[in-house]
Amino acid sequence: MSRAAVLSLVAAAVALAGVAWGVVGALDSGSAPQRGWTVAEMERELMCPTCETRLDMSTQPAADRIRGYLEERRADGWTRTQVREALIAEYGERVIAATPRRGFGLAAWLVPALVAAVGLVVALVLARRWAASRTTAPATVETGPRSVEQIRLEARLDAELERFE
Amino acid sequence: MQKLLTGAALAALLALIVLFAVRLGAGDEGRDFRSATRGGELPEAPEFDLPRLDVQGRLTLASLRGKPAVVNFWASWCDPCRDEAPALNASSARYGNDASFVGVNSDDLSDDARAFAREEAVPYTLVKDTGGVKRSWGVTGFPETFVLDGQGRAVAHFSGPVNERELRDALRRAGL
Repeated sequence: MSRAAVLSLVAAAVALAGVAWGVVGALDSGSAPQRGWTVAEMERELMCPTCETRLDMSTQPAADRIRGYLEERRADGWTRTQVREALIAEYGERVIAATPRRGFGLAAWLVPALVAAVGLVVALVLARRWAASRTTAPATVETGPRSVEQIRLEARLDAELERFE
Repeated sequence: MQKLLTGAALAALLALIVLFAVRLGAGDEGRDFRSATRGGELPEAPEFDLPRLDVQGRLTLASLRGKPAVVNFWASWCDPCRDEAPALNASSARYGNDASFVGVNSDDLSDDARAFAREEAVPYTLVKDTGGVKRSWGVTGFPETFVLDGQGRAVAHFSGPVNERELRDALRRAGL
């Protein structure tokens, strides 16, 4: 495989990784309203407001209180979206574990998309170049004058082949 | 084409580096305010405009100018906050005509905060912060109390429960 082809594959892999990262991030953000949720699931999506670690890893009193709140709202039949909105109203957006999609946090969402776009363009350009070089390449390859060693090896190969015939 | 792509990639990389550098270079307003208060530099307290917890409406720090103010950061789940509540209530009863007392509830659920205020019979103004004011004032735990003079400059800062004597002394330094 030529260098250009390898580069194309690498660029395509980078592009796919970028797209996959973006998709996973979008799914993790839980933007769609979902009725079925558990306290354990929500704990992984929330931050402890005092220690700024994920809620499921925090033993702070504030985190315990949010866990209690989640139990109460789940028993009341609240949707995931309702709970998230209520918690944002109480603690601000920092209570959500996902990176906010504004200000400096926006870079975390834009960079993967930019990487994906650049990777795709690079992959396309390299693939086109590779294809063009294949079509314009000569059918035979000039090897220049043969060395004594080459002539000797060819003669030996011919002799060997003749023995098998 | 290759030059164009290389240029675009380098420009993107440079933009990212600049973004991170700006972010890292930005000072921490809260930490600066807190350390300046502790150093006796009388820094002007960061402004706030927060919804009231005890009644409808909002409260701005600017509206407190003209007389000393006690600004106490607290949360209902904080046991030391409950411990200091009697001292704050008593000080508010004693100096409330000549100084403003404000409780800034942060990192808390509003219903829990209101229940705390009822249980402890908190007589002064309570506001709700979603974290931004706590950060801009450099508050790292609860309770923390700042005492401001009539111009809104911080003359004292207490980490942990405050007592009546400390509040009285700080209010006198603030011009009471």
